[in-house]
Amino acid sequence: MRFFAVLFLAAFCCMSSPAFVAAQEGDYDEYEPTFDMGDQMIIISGGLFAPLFYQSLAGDINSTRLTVGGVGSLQWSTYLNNNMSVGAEGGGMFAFTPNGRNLFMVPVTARFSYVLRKHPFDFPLSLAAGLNFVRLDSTFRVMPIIKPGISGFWSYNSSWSFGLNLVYWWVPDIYMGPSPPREQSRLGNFLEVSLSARYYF
Amino acid sequence: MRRFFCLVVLLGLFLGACSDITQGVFYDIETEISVPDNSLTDDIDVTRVVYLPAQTGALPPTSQPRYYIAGGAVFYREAPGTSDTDWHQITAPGIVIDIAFIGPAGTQDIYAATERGLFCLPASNGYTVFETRNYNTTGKQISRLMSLSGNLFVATFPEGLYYMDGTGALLDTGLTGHRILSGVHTTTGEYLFTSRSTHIFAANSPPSPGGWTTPPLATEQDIDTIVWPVGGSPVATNSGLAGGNISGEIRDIMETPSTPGTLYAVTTAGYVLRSTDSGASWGYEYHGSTFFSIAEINSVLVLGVDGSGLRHFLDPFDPAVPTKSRMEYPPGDFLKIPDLYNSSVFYLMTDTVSGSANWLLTGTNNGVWMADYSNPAYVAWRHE
Repeated sequence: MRFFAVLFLAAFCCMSSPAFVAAQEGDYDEYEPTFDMGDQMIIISGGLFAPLFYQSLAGDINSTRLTVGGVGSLQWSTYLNNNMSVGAEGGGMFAFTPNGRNLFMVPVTARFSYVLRKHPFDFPLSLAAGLNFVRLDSTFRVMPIIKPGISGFWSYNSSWSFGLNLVYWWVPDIYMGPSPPREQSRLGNFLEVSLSARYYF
Repeated sequence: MRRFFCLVVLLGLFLGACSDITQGVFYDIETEISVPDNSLTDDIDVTRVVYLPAQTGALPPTSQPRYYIAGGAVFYREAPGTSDTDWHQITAPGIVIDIAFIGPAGTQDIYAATERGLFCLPASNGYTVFETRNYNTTGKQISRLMSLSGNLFVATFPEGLYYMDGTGALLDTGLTGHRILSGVHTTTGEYLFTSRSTHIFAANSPPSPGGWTTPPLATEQDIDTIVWPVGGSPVATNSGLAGGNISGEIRDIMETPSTPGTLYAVTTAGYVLRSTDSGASWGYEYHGSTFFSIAEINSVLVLGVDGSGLRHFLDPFDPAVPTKSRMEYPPGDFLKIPDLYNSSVFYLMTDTVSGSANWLLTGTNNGVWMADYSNPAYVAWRHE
């Protein structure tokens, strides 16, 4: 699994390379872009996944007992106006339990963003919700997921920008009983810290 | 976009409906306990684990019983299993394939089989250094050692079975043509040996110099037996075990401590054999997995499996219980330890003497795992 983590980070670096090539060409734009309905963007992200805590339905807070892992995602969005966009995102994370079992989560979400701008920077505030496909060893389960987040992007030119994301993953793992019992329900709380490359088209 | 999300929701609901779990996912991780790991190196194949009682006659004497393992070298630590006593390595002449101990109580010697021969780790030097004498005079490669009722048996390939006399010489039992994999000395006095073919060989008397002098069990139902006349060649009788219905190598055989006279054997083709008359007749069940070993601890039958750890064998041979229901994973944290449940368990040894627990030691392809079977409803594991 560590091999896949390295592979993913390497792939992310490779996909970011066109931007570095463009930098060598001295292609920096001075004007502030504006976006209209129909303008689209693709965002690729990768970074670290920090398990925070589980909360039981009774309110007890417990350690996740997971290692820090890796996360990545691919997002498509379209602008509604210069400050709002909607889109879809698919991604994945991995982390390890104390005895080396792998936890994978693959969220597929719809996303809404509201962008605060101060050229050449912009700060999207986002809220994503959807389904989270979770796998632990041979156990597979689908859970809902909500992901509020905040990002900071620097516009390199009219096509490319790069940024940092802080995204909170809230994953409720709810059971009604009798098996598994309701008492084993947990609300998973995680934090994603990732870097992004964004391309407008 | 709308169609895409409808698809995702439907797929999610479908997959969610297909999930079949008995424990919450996050709860499962939250309650996972990190398995203790002792000092023994993990990347060794452990083919034998033996329990050596305290040897008061050794020089110096050993005050505590010890576990010895064959894993390329010889390793040992003091029993019981609750302590985090370090393991020690003893370098042998060659790669250690198997170990066994024989001799008078209190001054028993350890023998190790390597690709170079058979060597002794004597009590007279406190089990610190192997003697230089090579006891393997057969001219063949040793594949297995068996210590049965104070007799050391040596299986070889090309196929043969030898035993050690009082002078340290290896004498031919006369059993040839079959590669012997395991043996047991029953409470009724029989010696039974299993082979790579579907044969179990029996003799009801200890060997003496020159061969077996008294007739073995030669006429029992459904068992291949060998008549070993003095100085003669073995003669096979019968046509196959359990009517010729089983297959695979019979890798292990044992007599249950809880029910003397009841024997179990396992094959690599997924068969479990049982005899309730000390090996006179055998029945079998088919369970599909590649079995390497079998043991009984705290009245629980445990099977070692290739590539998937262990199974508990419940209600064996009970016609009222469906065959599929008779195998289960050990309860407790077994399924939370991938290094254990993905391992191949070559050998099982029980220690019901040391300390206050019932210890099961498993020799696997990634070292030794030890389990506390004091409560068979929840088995706690540690990695040695």
